[in-house]
Amino acid sequence: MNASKHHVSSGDFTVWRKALEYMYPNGQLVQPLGSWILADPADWLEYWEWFATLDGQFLYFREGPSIWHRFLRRPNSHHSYFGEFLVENTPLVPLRRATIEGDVHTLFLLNSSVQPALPTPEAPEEIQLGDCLALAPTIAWVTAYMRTSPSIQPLLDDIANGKAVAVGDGSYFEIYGVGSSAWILSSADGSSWIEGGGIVPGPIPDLNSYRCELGALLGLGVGTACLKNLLPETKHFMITACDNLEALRKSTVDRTKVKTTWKSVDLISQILDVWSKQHCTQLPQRVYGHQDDKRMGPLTFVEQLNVRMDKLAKTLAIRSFG
Amino acid sequence: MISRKLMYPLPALTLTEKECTYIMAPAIRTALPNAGISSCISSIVRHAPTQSLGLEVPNLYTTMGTARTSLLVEHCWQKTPTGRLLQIVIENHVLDVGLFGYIWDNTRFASFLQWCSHHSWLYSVCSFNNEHEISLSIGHAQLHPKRINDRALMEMASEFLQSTSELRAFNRVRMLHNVVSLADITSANGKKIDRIFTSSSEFEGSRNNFECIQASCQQW
Repeated sequence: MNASKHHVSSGDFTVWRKALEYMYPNGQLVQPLGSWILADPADWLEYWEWFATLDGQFLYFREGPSIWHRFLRRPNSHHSYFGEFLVENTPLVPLRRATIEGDVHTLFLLNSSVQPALPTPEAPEEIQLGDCLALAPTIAWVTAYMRTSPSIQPLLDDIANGKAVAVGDGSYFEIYGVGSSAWILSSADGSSWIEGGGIVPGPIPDLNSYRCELGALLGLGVGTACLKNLLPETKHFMITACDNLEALRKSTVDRTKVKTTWKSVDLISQILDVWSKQHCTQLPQRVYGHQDDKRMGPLTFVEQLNVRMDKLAKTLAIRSFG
Repeated sequence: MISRKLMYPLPALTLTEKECTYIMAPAIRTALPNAGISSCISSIVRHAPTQSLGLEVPNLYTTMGTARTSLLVEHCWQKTPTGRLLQIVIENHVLDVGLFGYIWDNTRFASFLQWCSHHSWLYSVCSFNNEHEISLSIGHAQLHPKRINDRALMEMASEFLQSTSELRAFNRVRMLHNVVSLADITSANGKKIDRIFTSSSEFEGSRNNFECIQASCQQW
């Protein structure tokens, strides 16, 4: 980050000192500061000037990245050091940050603080999906409803082998101003699955069936992202099917082509973001919707899943308006 | 309609509401009577949507504000060269504001507008968004506490200094020293002021890796 500098007058320094007197009544903080919080252990030596060895035998002054001045403690003294120094490379011994005062003849160590232990990185939030612990969904509304088969291991295997199928569908009830989305990740034989859905957020004028379909495609991305830590880190593919061709096109559009003037660009950008952070890549496939009503004869597996998601989306919407 | 000639440069401008009204006045004065409407009709009715029985004449100031916000969101998300420049502007603004966390939090705008630079494009964006309750979530580098109980210097200064001029003076010195929080100016044990910061000269050490540039770079 960059900081801009303006002209500073003597009056500015007066105001600065006046404010410091308020902040440090009698030169002391009312609530002393606690342990250091370091983003990077290297910052400990980088962003401070004076240091002391743990036994207090030496003071170090950081002149440059690898130029250090070492000062020896005076005999029979706890806090007083000689003004002469030796030039050294970066010291390898552990050092405390120190505050000193003094002149070229004598330095006094006023106080010091020790380097904090490295904080343990926070474990990502996890949820139980079937027989596995998966990452918690990053977008809540799209997983307001979520269910799985007893075991999702076959699904994970099929995703890794590129055989799994993901299908989403949306449902829009214009008279109630409610739209919902439902999605499913299924193994090739349909025995192992994760399904979810929720009510599509947004102002009523922006709601339409297209937005609901985009919500379903977002659900597919979020659902797959939950499995990220269970899937291989090599590139793999999954069929993502939807009955709205335009929504399908938008879900795989080049990021640089996205315009903020597009309808439901909020969902489109989220879909692109969610998929860009995982090793799994979409293979978009159009599925014709409502084939159970329109066609006699057996439906393909993807069509069956689409019909199932259509029913789930309608159920979720009807539940929302009672 | 606003003519294209006026529309195209809008995202790059920081016109005030008064200036926008002045620019649109000749067009309004001519167009409305020709449409059989009094040119003196209230601006509220003039700009209101037709569903609310308004005339839905676009407001140049609102169009400019939304165009700027839209441009900011689009370019930062797409990570275009313009987006990267805007990220630098955002980070400059973060340092100028000197508070921890996101700068998009509209609840803090009223306090930091007292001391931050008003001569910037980003300030105009924040000001418009605050005025119209628009909330952004563009990610940016943030300032963080460095110690337990650490607080931003500007947050503390705003509690003790009342006038805008004093807050700006304090901020100028803070920027000169390149410090952000209490931890930067407190002694190693976290209890006392480090006396070096009470002198009237620039602090020569380093408490962070923020680079210093001239103010003119920020004012575009």
